[in-house]
Amino acid sequence: MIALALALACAGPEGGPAAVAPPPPAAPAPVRQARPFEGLPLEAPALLRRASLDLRGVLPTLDELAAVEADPASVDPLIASFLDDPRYEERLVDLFAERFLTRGEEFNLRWWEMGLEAEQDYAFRRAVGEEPLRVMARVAIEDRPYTDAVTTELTMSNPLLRGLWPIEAVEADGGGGWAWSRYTDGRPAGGALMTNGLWWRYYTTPNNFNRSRASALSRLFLCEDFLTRPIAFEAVALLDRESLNEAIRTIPACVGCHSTLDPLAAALFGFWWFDIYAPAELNVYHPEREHLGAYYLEADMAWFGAPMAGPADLGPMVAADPRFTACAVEGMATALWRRDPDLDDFATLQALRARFEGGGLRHKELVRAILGGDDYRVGALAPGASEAAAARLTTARLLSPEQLAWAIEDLTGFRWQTEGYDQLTNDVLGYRVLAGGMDGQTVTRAERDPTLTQALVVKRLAQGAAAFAVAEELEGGAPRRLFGEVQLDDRPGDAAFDAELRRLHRRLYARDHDPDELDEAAAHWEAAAAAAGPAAAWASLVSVWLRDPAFWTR
Amino acid sequence: MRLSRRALLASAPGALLLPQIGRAGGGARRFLFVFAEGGWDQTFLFAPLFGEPLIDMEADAEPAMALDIPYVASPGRPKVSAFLERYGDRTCFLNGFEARSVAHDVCLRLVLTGTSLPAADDWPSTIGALTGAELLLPVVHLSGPGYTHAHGSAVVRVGAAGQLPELISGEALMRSSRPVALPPLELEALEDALLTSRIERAAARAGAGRAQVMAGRALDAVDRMALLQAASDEIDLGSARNLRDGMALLVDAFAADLARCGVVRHRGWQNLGWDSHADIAVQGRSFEELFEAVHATMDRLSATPGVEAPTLADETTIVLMSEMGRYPQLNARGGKEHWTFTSCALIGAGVAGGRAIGGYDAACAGQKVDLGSGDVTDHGVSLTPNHIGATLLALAGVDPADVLPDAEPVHAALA
Repeated sequence: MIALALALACAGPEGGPAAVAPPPPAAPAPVRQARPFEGLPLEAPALLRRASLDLRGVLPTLDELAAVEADPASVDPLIASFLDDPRYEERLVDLFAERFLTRGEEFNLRWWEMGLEAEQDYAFRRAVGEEPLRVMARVAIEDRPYTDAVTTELTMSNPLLRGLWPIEAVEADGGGGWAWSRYTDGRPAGGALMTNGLWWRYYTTPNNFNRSRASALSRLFLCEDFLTRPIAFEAVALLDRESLNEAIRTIPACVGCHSTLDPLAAALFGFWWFDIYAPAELNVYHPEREHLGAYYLEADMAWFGAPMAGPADLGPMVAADPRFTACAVEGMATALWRRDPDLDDFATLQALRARFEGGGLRHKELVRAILGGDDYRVGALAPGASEAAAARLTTARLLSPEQLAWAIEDLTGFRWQTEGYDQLTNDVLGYRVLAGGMDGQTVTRAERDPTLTQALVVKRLAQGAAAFAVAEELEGGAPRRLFGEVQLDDRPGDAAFDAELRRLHRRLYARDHDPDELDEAAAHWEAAAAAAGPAAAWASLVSVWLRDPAFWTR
Repeated sequence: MRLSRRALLASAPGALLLPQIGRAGGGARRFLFVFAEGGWDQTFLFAPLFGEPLIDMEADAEPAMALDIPYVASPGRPKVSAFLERYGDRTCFLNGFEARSVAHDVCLRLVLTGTSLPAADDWPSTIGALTGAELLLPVVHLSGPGYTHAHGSAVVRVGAAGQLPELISGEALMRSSRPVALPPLELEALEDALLTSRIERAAARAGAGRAQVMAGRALDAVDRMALLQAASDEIDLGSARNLRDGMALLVDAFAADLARCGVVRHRGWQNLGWDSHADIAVQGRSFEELFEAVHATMDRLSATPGVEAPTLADETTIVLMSEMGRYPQLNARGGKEHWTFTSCALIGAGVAGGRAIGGYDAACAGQKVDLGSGDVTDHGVSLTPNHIGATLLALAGVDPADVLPDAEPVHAALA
């Protein structure tokens, strides 16, 4: 990824003004591979299952599975329809969170400093971290040019944030209370770039002068990481600001980064806080401080050499930079391929970018292109595939904690909650990191392989969900959700019992059972029923099937 | 008679695979990482820069020596001095390495992996995976930062609030908003057997590649889970309420030959954190608390039989790190901002003790070091996190060139 990032970064003249985006191709280019692809695609039902989990967070229904089994060609339009599903927005927020790492749990201000109650802690942290993610996600689902994510004058807020920050909604609340909104503190337009949530996560300190923020902005939105530059580094440790600024301007090893970093940092002084723990400082933008960078950094605002008149130019500069588009492509490919792109992916990424640009920078077009590509659809290795391909191609992918929570809730109605915390999406009391997820600060990468603690979390989740579904549906008479027609007095060999096993198997795994599987399941059910009764037997069997990797991978 | 969980699990079908993992029978060194999260102030211990006009030192501090270790002593930190007097011969300071950033999250990653890129494993994960994969808990991660890429399966996270034991016991479900009764142990054993059978079948069905790897790791996780449930009778992974408890727990895990590495964070005195943007005096209290715990841990290691060596202290290296240092001058609130130069301490097995390597100049910048002799010299190299990582790998018996091709260990730190 380093080499790729550098290659993209070096595409234009070093230090020159932000290049103008190249004109889009006349027609969308096909997504193709640089060399023969060494994988085989998933069959239609398995592909449907993977896409449904990725885009909606839930398993496909039995009717959807039946449709693609009857007509495998129907899988593509069905998957395309998922992009219009209301749940897709939430999934995008999850996917963006993996890259932007704003769903942290430690901000400079805690609930009590914000005048909140303890039980609002989880919602508070969640809302702050999700603000920039929801701007990007809403732009994407509304099929607006993705550049709007960094240029819109609006932000996203929910009632909690509107009670804390100077924000007013400009539409009725959407799902979950989030709505397009507007800051009333005089900050310029800039979409996610002008959100409190982004800069609460990426804060700066009084002697850093926004440089770390500028570095984060470059890394997150351009995929250009200043820290990966191969510079001959000779440290200087000048303690007074003027001397340090002078060194940064004159020592070649410093100039390489700071000639672009500092002018970018200068554009962020509206978010400059004189006290990094004071609500009055952090809650609002400070228009009167926008030009303080000229004093602290002795640098005028500029975007990689192109002068900016003020922070209002920041969003358009980002949007016009070809690296922004390339980075959006790389980020989404990473999220959906579940691996880091490498140099072998260069041609594929270029083709995806062409589709993205050719489609008017509509995010859905980008996602459609990724979903249609070999790297997304790969389900097995081709005969004779190289060892490198075996290690590289993600023929199976772990469900994230968020996907697990969604899929289980949709399947069984069970949401694992304790003291108001969603246990798969927090680490204060919960198990997000133990389940293979990330906290955005000390764990910044989702696990790609099963771990001991992931297996434990899945075990308890499966037990909870299975027991819940049995209690609700088989014992409590609630409308059927997980189960079909089976009753507690049905036994192995009864038509209803055997049909239920087949039905559940298809629902969970999107494939038919192997010859021995149902016999083995029935034998387990018999043994469990003998020990603890039929309800416990169903709970036991379902929990095992939910713990099977065939369920928690896609 | 109701069978104990341990006896039942040992007799479960999944237990047939148990000998493959568990205890290693000794050999490789063990590492106890303590991470002072927030950025410690090097001028409270590592950098006795008294009399330098650009440096704000504590008012009542004074220079001191422990063998050949120059350090900052203070009447308010008797436990730091006591530790160095008792264990200075087993302690080596590595001074003046540069994190290359002053942002917490970036520095955390840099000092623990050597790179800002996400596709990297941290030092504990790498060491644990390469030298302790056969152990039940190659890396016990109690708290603090932990970065994994290829070696995630080696890391067993306990959770910042000690969540792992409640998952093992099932308490996690019983105290949820919809309490769930766990199945009887006998039934759980049947479930594990059925699950194992299903995964084995899936592993056989999967061709080469990720699907097969994941099935294999899932199977391994099921086996380890059974062993962990058994081991929970011996060791309470949720017992770490503070740094000292956490370190004691990790010593117990080493003594039981369950783990190769342990990671625990220290959030400073009274959990006030090391990120002292105000009231820098808290740093002194935090160092005192830290070294009190380290002293107790060294005592405990010294009193505990090793797996192969006479004592665990002969087999264990304690690593004290922080993601950054602190700016040498006080700010208006009596605190100090972030600083890219910092220090770490290596204590115990394999360490060339009784000395400090590297140092700080009059502006508190790191000085160049001859990696062989450890001397400060203009002809040396500037220490980076990769030098620290390479040194740790060398201590672990891993050829650093296999992991960090461009980094050389600080040979002078190796006994």
